[in-house]
Amino acid sequence: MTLNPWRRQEPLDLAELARLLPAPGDPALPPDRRLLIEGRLMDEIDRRGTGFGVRFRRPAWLAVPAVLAVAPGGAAAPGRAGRAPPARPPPHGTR
Amino acid sequence: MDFTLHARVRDGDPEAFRELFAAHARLVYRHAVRTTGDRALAEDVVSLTFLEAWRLRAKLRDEGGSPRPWLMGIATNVLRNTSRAARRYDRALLRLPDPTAVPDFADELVGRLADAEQLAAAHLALGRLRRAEREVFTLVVWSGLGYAEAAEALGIPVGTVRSRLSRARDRLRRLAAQELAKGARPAEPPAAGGQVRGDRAAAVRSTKRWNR
Repeated sequence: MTLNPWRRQEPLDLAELARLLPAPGDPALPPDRRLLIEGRLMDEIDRRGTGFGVRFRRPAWLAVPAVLAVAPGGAAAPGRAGRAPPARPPPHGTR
Repeated sequence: MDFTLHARVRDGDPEAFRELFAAHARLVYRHAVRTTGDRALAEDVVSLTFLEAWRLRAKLRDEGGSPRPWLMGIATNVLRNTSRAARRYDRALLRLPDPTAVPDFADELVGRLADAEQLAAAHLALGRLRRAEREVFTLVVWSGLGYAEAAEALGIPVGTVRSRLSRARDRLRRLAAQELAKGARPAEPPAAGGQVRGDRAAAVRSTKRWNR
Protein backbone atom coordinates (compact mmCIF):
# COMPACT_ATOMS: atom_id res chain seq x y z
CA MET A 1 0.00 0.00 0.00
CA THR A 2 1.38 3.35 -0.94
CA LEU A 3 0.27 6.69 0.40
CA ASN A 4 2.15 8.60 -2.25
CA PRO A 5 -0.54 10.26 -4.44
CA TRP A 6 1.86 10.60 -7.39
CA ARG A 7 2.34 6.85 -7.45
CA ARG A 8 -1.41 6.29 -7.38
CA GLN A 9 -1.90 8.36 -10.52
CA GLU A 10 0.94 6.82 -12.43
CA PRO A 11 -0.45 5.08 -15.52
CA LEU A 12 -0.40 1.31 -15.51
CA ASP A 13 1.97 -0.38 -17.90
CA LEU A 14 1.00 -4.02 -18.26
CA ALA A 15 4.35 -4.89 -19.85
CA GLU A 16 6.13 -3.54 -16.80
CA LEU A 17 3.78 -5.43 -14.50
CA ALA A 18 4.53 -8.63 -16.38
CA ARG A 19 8.27 -8.04 -15.94
CA LEU A 20 7.93 -7.53 -12.20
CA LEU A 21 7.22 -11.23 -11.71
CA PRO A 22 9.04 -14.19 -13.25
CA ALA A 23 7.35 -15.22 -16.51
CA PRO A 24 4.96 -18.09 -15.73
CA GLY A 25 5.55 -19.83 -19.03
CA ASP A 26 2.75 -21.03 -21.25
CA PRO A 27 1.41 -24.16 -19.58
CA ALA A 28 -0.82 -25.91 -22.08
CA LEU A 29 -3.48 -28.47 -21.33
CA PRO A 30 -2.42 -31.54 -23.30
CA PRO A 31 -5.12 -32.71 -25.73
CA ASP A 32 -5.41 -36.14 -24.08
CA ARG A 33 -5.98 -34.55 -20.66
CA ARG A 34 -8.49 -32.12 -22.13
CA LEU A 35 -10.43 -35.00 -23.66
CA LEU A 36 -10.30 -36.89 -20.37
CA ILE A 37 -11.67 -33.94 -18.41
CA GLU A 38 -14.29 -33.28 -21.08
CA GLY A 39 -15.41 -36.92 -21.02
CA ARG A 40 -15.76 -36.97 -17.24
CA LEU A 41 -17.53 -33.62 -17.27
CA MET A 42 -20.06 -34.63 -19.89
CA ASP A 43 -20.69 -37.97 -18.15
CA GLU A 44 -21.39 -36.10 -14.93
CA ILE A 45 -23.72 -33.70 -16.69
CA ASP A 46 -25.59 -36.61 -18.28
CA ARG A 47 -25.77 -38.35 -14.93
CA ARG A 48 -27.14 -35.34 -13.11
CA GLY A 49 -29.43 -34.28 -15.94
CA THR A 50 -30.64 -30.79 -16.64
CA GLY A 51 -32.33 -30.64 -13.25
CA PHE A 52 -28.96 -29.86 -11.70
CA GLY A 53 -29.04 -26.13 -11.65
CA VAL A 54 -29.25 -22.90 -9.73
CA ARG A 55 -32.48 -23.74 -7.96
CA PHE A 56 -30.74 -26.49 -6.06
CA ARG A 57 -27.74 -26.14 -3.81
CA ARG A 58 -25.86 -22.93 -4.16
CA PRO A 59 -22.14 -22.60 -3.55
CA ALA A 60 -21.22 -21.55 -0.04
CA TRP A 61 -20.32 -18.03 -1.12
CA LEU A 62 -23.93 -17.53 -2.25
CA ALA A 63 -25.61 -19.49 0.51
CA VAL A 64 -25.98 -16.77 3.16
CA PRO A 65 -27.81 -14.20 0.99
CA ALA A 66 -30.00 -17.00 -0.36
CA VAL A 67 -31.02 -18.11 3.12
CA LEU A 68 -31.75 -14.56 4.24
CA ALA A 69 -33.72 -13.86 1.08
CA VAL A 70 -36.21 -16.67 1.72
CA ALA A 71 -36.35 -16.46 5.52
CA PRO A 72 -40.02 -15.90 6.47
CA GLY A 73 -40.40 -12.53 8.10
CA GLY A 74 -36.65 -12.16 8.17
CA ALA A 75 -34.62 -9.08 7.57
CA ALA A 76 -33.92 -8.04 4.03
CA ALA A 77 -30.97 -9.83 2.56
CA PRO A 78 -27.83 -7.86 1.99
CA GLY A 79 -27.21 -7.14 -1.64
CA ARG A 80 -29.53 -7.80 -4.52
CA ALA A 81 -31.98 -10.37 -3.22
CA GLY A 82 -34.84 -10.02 -0.78
CA ARG A 83 -35.30 -6.26 -0.73
CA ALA A 84 -39.08 -6.46 -0.87
CA PRO A 85 -40.91 -6.99 2.40
CA PRO A 86 -41.94 -10.64 2.63
CA ALA A 87 -45.67 -9.94 3.02
CA ARG A 88 -45.92 -8.10 -0.29
CA PRO A 89 -45.92 -9.71 -3.71
CA PRO A 90 -42.52 -9.59 -5.38
CA PRO A 91 -41.96 -6.46 -7.44
CA HIS A 92 -41.93 -6.89 -11.17
CA GLY A 93 -39.39 -5.19 -13.36
CA THR A 94 -37.46 -3.85 -10.40
CA ARG A 95 -34.40 -5.14 -8.60
CA MET B 1 -20.86 -13.14 -30.84
CA ASP B 2 -22.84 -16.35 -30.71
CA PHE B 3 -25.64 -15.56 -28.31
CA THR B 4 -27.43 -18.66 -29.55
CA LEU B 5 -24.77 -20.70 -27.81
CA HIS B 6 -25.38 -18.81 -24.58
CA ALA B 7 -29.12 -19.41 -24.87
CA ARG B 8 -28.56 -23.12 -25.54
CA VAL B 9 -26.28 -23.38 -22.52
CA ARG B 10 -28.85 -21.62 -20.36
CA ASP B 11 -31.47 -24.06 -21.64
CA GLY B 12 -29.34 -26.99 -20.54
CA ASP B 13 -28.13 -28.24 -23.93
CA PRO B 14 -25.14 -30.50 -23.17
CA GLU B 15 -23.69 -30.15 -26.67
CA ALA B 16 -23.68 -26.37 -26.36
CA PHE B 17 -21.91 -26.76 -23.05
CA ARG B 18 -19.37 -29.03 -24.68
CA GLU B 19 -18.67 -26.24 -27.19
CA LEU B 20 -18.22 -23.80 -24.32
CA PHE B 21 -15.77 -26.18 -22.69
CA ALA B 22 -13.84 -26.73 -25.91
CA ALA B 23 -13.51 -22.99 -26.45
CA HIS B 24 -12.44 -22.02 -22.92
CA ALA B 25 -10.91 -25.00 -21.14
CA ARG B 26 -7.40 -23.98 -22.17
CA LEU B 27 -7.85 -20.46 -20.81
CA VAL B 28 -9.16 -21.73 -17.46
CA TYR B 29 -6.40 -24.34 -17.23
CA ARG B 30 -3.61 -21.89 -18.02
CA HIS B 31 -5.00 -19.47 -15.44
CA ALA B 32 -5.35 -22.23 -12.83
CA VAL B 33 -1.91 -23.71 -13.34
CA ARG B 34 -0.23 -20.32 -13.17
CA THR B 35 -2.17 -19.43 -10.04
CA THR B 36 -1.62 -22.73 -8.21
CA GLY B 37 1.73 -23.80 -9.68
CA ASP B 38 0.33 -27.34 -9.70
CA ARG B 39 -0.80 -29.05 -12.88
CA ALA B 40 -2.86 -31.78 -11.21
CA LEU B 41 -4.67 -29.26 -9.03
CA ALA B 42 -5.23 -27.08 -12.08
CA GLU B 43 -6.99 -29.98 -13.81
CA ASP B 44 -9.28 -30.29 -10.79
CA VAL B 45 -9.93 -26.56 -10.96
CA VAL B 46 -10.93 -26.89 -14.63
CA SER B 47 -13.33 -29.74 -13.82
CA LEU B 48 -14.84 -27.88 -10.87
CA THR B 49 -15.11 -24.61 -12.77
CA PHE B 50 -17.10 -26.20 -15.57
CA LEU B 51 -19.24 -28.27 -13.20
CA GLU B 52 -20.07 -25.06 -11.37
CA ALA B 53 -20.66 -23.32 -14.70
CA TRP B 54 -23.19 -26.01 -15.62
CA ARG B 55 -24.88 -25.69 -12.26
CA LEU B 56 -25.01 -21.89 -12.57
CA ARG B 57 -25.70 -21.83 -16.32
CA ALA B 58 -28.91 -19.81 -15.89
CA LYS B 59 -26.70 -16.90 -14.84
CA LEU B 60 -24.80 -16.80 -18.14
CA ARG B 61 -25.66 -13.43 -19.66
CA ASP B 62 -25.35 -12.08 -23.18
CA GLU B 63 -24.12 -8.66 -22.06
CA GLY B 64 -20.53 -8.02 -23.04
CA GLY B 65 -20.53 -10.87 -25.50
CA SER B 66 -17.84 -13.25 -24.30
CA PRO B 67 -18.51 -15.74 -21.52
CA ARG B 68 -14.87 -15.32 -20.41
CA PRO B 69 -15.53 -13.00 -17.46
CA TRP B 70 -18.33 -15.25 -16.19
CA LEU B 71 -16.19 -18.38 -16.44
CA MET B 72 -13.12 -16.72 -14.96
CA GLY B 73 -15.22 -15.41 -12.09
CA ILE B 74 -16.31 -18.97 -11.35
CA ALA B 75 -12.71 -20.17 -11.68
CA THR B 76 -11.61 -17.47 -9.23
CA ASN B 77 -14.17 -18.63 -6.69
CA VAL B 78 -13.06 -22.23 -7.14
CA LEU B 79 -9.42 -21.19 -6.72
CA ARG B 80 -10.24 -19.34 -3.50
CA ASN B 81 -11.43 -22.54 -1.93
CA THR B 82 -10.98 -25.59 -4.10
CA SER B 83 -11.75 -28.08 -1.35
CA ARG B 84 -15.03 -26.36 -0.55
CA ALA B 85 -16.04 -26.39 -4.21
CA ALA B 86 -15.02 -30.04 -4.49
CA ARG B 87 -17.32 -31.07 -1.63
CA ARG B 88 -20.29 -30.54 -3.90
CA TYR B 89 -19.17 -33.25 -6.28
CA ASP B 90 -18.12 -36.86 -6.22
CA ARG B 91 -14.44 -36.93 -5.37
CA ALA B 92 -13.93 -39.82 -7.79
CA LEU B 93 -14.86 -37.42 -10.57
CA LEU B 94 -11.81 -35.32 -9.81
CA ARG B 95 -9.35 -38.19 -9.56
CA LEU B 96 -8.14 -38.31 -13.11
CA PRO B 97 -5.54 -40.93 -13.91
CA ASP B 98 -1.98 -39.66 -13.73
CA PRO B 99 -0.55 -38.43 -17.00
CA THR B 100 2.11 -40.55 -18.64
CA ALA B 101 4.88 -40.53 -16.07
CA VAL B 102 7.82 -41.12 -18.39
CA PRO B 103 8.23 -38.93 -21.43
CA ASP B 104 9.40 -40.51 -24.66
CA PHE B 105 12.51 -38.41 -25.12
CA ALA B 106 15.13 -36.96 -22.82
CA ASP B 107 14.59 -33.53 -24.39
CA GLU B 108 10.95 -33.65 -23.42
CA LEU B 109 11.90 -34.53 -19.85
CA VAL B 110 14.32 -31.60 -19.69
CA GLY B 111 11.64 -29.33 -21.13
CA ARG B 112 9.13 -30.48 -18.54
CA LEU B 113 11.55 -29.87 -15.69
CA ALA B 114 12.37 -26.40 -17.01
CA ASP B 115 8.65 -25.62 -17.31
CA ALA B 116 8.07 -26.84 -13.77
CA GLU B 117 10.91 -24.67 -12.44
CA GLN B 118 9.62 -21.64 -14.29
CA LEU B 119 6.12 -22.25 -12.98
CA ALA B 120 7.36 -22.75 -9.43
CA ALA B 121 9.38 -19.52 -9.52
CA ALA B 122 6.39 -17.56 -10.82
CA HIS B 123 4.07 -19.11 -8.26
CA LEU B 124 6.47 -18.35 -5.40
CA ALA B 125 6.80 -14.73 -6.49
CA LEU B 126 3.03 -14.41 -6.91
CA GLY B 127 2.67 -15.37 -3.26
CA ARG B 128 4.23 -12.05 -2.31
CA LEU B 129 1.05 -10.28 -3.34
CA ARG B 130 -2.11 -10.09 -1.30
CA ARG B 131 -4.97 -12.23 -2.54
CA ALA B 132 -6.97 -9.34 -3.96
CA GLU B 133 -3.93 -8.08 -5.87
CA ARG B 134 -3.00 -11.58 -6.95
CA GLU B 135 -6.42 -12.24 -8.45
CA VAL B 136 -6.39 -9.04 -10.46
CA PHE B 137 -2.78 -9.53 -11.50
CA THR B 138 -3.31 -13.08 -12.78
CA LEU B 139 -6.54 -12.21 -14.59
CA VAL B 140 -5.27 -9.07 -16.30
CA VAL B 141 -1.51 -9.55 -16.72
CA TRP B 142 -1.22 -13.29 -17.14
CA SER B 143 -4.62 -14.28 -18.57
CA GLY B 144 -5.13 -11.17 -20.70
CA LEU B 145 -8.55 -10.06 -19.51
CA GLY B 146 -9.36 -6.40 -20.00
CA TYR B 147 -10.01 -4.21 -16.98
CA ALA B 148 -13.76 -4.38 -17.57
CA GLU B 149 -13.67 -8.16 -17.95
CA ALA B 150 -11.66 -8.57 -14.75
CA ALA B 151 -14.06 -6.24 -12.96
CA GLU B 152 -16.99 -8.35 -14.13
CA ALA B 153 -15.26 -11.59 -13.17
CA LEU B 154 -14.53 -10.36 -9.66
CA GLY B 155 -17.73 -8.37 -9.19
CA ILE B 156 -15.85 -5.14 -8.45
CA PRO B 157 -15.70 -1.70 -10.12
CA VAL B 158 -13.16 -1.11 -12.90
CA GLY B 159 -11.50 1.55 -10.75
CA THR B 160 -10.84 -1.07 -8.09
CA VAL B 161 -9.16 -3.30 -10.67
CA ARG B 162 -6.84 -0.43 -11.56
CA SER B 163 -6.07 0.46 -7.97
CA ARG B 164 -5.31 -3.17 -7.06
CA LEU B 165 -2.98 -3.45 -10.04
CA SER B 166 -1.32 -0.24 -9.02
CA ARG B 167 -0.80 -1.54 -5.49
CA ALA B 168 0.57 -4.80 -6.88
CA ARG B 169 3.04 -2.87 -9.01
CA ASP B 170 4.19 -0.75 -6.09
CA ARG B 171 4.61 -3.76 -3.87
CA LEU B 172 6.56 -5.68 -6.50
CA ARG B 173 8.79 -2.70 -7.19
CA ARG B 174 9.58 -2.39 -3.51
CA LEU B 175 10.31 -6.10 -3.26
CA ALA B 176 12.53 -5.98 -6.34
CA ALA B 177 14.47 -3.08 -4.82
CA GLN B 178 14.84 -5.00 -1.56
CA GLU B 179 16.07 -8.09 -3.41
CA LEU B 180 18.63 -6.04 -5.23
CA ALA B 181 19.79 -4.34 -2.07
CA LYS B 182 20.25 -7.70 -0.39
CA GLY B 183 22.14 -9.09 -3.36
CA ALA B 184 24.39 -6.07 -3.85
CA ARG B 185 25.23 -5.39 -0.22
CA PRO B 186 24.88 -8.62 1.69
CA ALA B 187 26.88 -7.38 4.68
CA GLU B 188 24.70 -4.35 5.28
CA PRO B 189 21.59 -4.41 7.45
CA PRO B 190 18.31 -3.99 5.57
CA ALA B 191 17.46 -0.43 4.63
CA ALA B 192 15.03 1.34 6.93
CA GLY B 193 11.47 0.95 5.66
CA GLY B 194 12.58 -1.57 3.07
CA GLN B 195 12.95 1.04 0.37
CA VAL B 196 16.05 1.75 -1.69
CA ARG B 197 15.84 5.46 -2.26
CA GLY B 198 16.29 6.86 -5.74
CA ASP B 199 17.23 3.54 -7.26
CA ARG B 200 14.50 2.74 -9.72
CA ALA B 201 16.89 1.70 -12.48
CA ALA B 202 18.31 -0.91 -10.17
CA ALA B 203 14.84 -2.31 -9.57
CA VAL B 204 14.40 -2.82 -13.29
CA ARG B 205 17.70 -4.69 -13.49
CA SER B 206 16.49 -6.98 -10.77
CA THR B 207 13.39 -7.98 -12.73
CA LYS B 208 15.53 -8.77 -15.77
CA ARG B 209 17.51 -11.14 -13.64
CA TRP B 210 14.26 -12.81 -12.60
CA ASN B 211 13.13 -13.20 -16.17
CA ARG B 212 16.22 -14.99 -17.31
